[in-house]
Amino acid sequence: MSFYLASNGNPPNEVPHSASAFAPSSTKEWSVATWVYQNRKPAGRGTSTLPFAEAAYFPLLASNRALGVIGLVTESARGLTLEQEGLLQTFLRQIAIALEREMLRATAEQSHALAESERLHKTLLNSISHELRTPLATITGASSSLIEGNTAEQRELRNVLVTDIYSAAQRLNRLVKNLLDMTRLESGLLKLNLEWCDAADLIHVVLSNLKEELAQRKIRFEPLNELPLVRMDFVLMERALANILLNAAQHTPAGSTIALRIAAAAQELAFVIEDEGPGFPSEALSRIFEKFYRLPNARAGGLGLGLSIAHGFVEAHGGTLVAENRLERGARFIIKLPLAPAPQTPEEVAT
Amino acid sequence: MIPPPTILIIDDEIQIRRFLRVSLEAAGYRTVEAATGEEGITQAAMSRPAFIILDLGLPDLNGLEVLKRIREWSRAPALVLSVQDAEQEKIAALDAGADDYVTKPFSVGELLARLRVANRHAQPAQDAPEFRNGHLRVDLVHRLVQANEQSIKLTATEYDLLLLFIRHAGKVLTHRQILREIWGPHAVEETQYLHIYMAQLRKKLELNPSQPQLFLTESGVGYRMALLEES
Repeated sequence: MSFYLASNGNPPNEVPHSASAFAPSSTKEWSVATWVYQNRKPAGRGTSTLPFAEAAYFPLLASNRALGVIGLVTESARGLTLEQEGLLQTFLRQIAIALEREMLRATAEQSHALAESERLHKTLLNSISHELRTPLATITGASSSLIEGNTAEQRELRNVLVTDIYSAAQRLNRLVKNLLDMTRLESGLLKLNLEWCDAADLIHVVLSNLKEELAQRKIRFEPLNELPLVRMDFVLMERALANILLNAAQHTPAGSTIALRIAAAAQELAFVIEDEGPGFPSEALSRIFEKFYRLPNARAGGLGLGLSIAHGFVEAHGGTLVAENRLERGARFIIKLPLAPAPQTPEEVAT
Repeated sequence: MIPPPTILIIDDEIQIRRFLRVSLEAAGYRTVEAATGEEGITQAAMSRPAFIILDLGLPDLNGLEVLKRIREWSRAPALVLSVQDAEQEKIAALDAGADDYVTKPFSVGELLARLRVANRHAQPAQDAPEFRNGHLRVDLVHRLVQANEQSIKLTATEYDLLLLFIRHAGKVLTHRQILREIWGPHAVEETQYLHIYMAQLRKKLELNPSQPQLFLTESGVGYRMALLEES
């Protein structure tokens, strides 16, 4: 037997399905199979149409449409008995029905995936254009006001406008950073630049880079005295932590505390970030690392990429990032990175 | 009257050149501009600038190539402009003889601070027997180190490391540059040495080791000793 299946409404090509026992021996033989598909009638050996073919070909019909062709070579020269013929027809019907079901399922899945990707695309366009337009509107408005010069006399007003332009530009810069990071993750070409790094130093760098954004929060960080070095890509881990902290800053009231801890176990190093905000609604906890996911009641601003980037960068290190609600109140993020035995450095005595 | 020092700006973006020109002239420098790498190399020869500001993302020549060609005959301090996520590019530029970098987008204050540091290093070295920076005092003759008026004992390697930072105070040093200087050319990949010694140095010399003010990490690139106000 040999099977030729149509795919997506296109006629079958002459490469038989992998379960087949033979392939058409010539173009002429293949044209018989094509004729059967097009005319939805049996042909070939033992039939009245093109009986000099090497095999008999039967269409697989379902809902009046051909789904494929089955070729059959019989051992005896006489062809099939009536009984065998009947049995064959039943098989053909069953195969066609099963095939049709399978094809319908695949089509449904495809259109679902398409709808999902269209939805993502739309969300992306909507939120990106919103996130781009808001700071652009600020920059255009404030700078045009400065150009028109009616604020020239009011020094204070000018300062306000210039400061607005500056912070709008920074917001755009953060957006570009996140889009670039997301692209790096999605491209599958993320290359880690692994080095032995000081975890406490990582936190210092992140905190000092976010000084402005975290100015309204109390930051608590007491590094342990003896921390093992951890092999990581410093820049990517910096982006991961920065995104978690920016998220905390966005969802917690001014004046509240954000606490950072580093804990070392035998096999892993954990960064723990705790805030005093409202925490997450329980149904959101499983979704916050999805890209473009935003809490239902989230304030405007933000693409919903930050936590998903953090998650991606930590996983690229072979680590884990989880979020939970604290018993007291607020959210807790835990990053765990695998620890490898750190190399030794030579001992020295201070003089 | 001494003429103001000339800065050569090599950048293909006219808006960037314009805001650099306006800000640098307001700060008392004279400026010359080039929009391409080739033009930049010619201008570097013709106008003999005191400093060069070079964008690494030029349309005609790779900025790194421009830097190397200028470095064949000129020691004028060069500050490169780079972008986020281009750490390897920054490291390559620093190793090829750039004196420092700023990441776009940057503020004018940041740029001027880098230029002041480059200016300091361009002056012939003063053989001062003592180095002071904020709460740090180092008696270079007797190899005595004080932080916040307290005598500090350093190991030989820690002291060598400190000396390297003192010689390049305010400038960024790449991991490789430090490793080569302190541990030798065979150790340029051994970054763990460096991070351990930096942690020790911070513990001994920073006022608050959990918020380093003196030894700053330049993410993915290296370290820098900040120039602090007198305390």
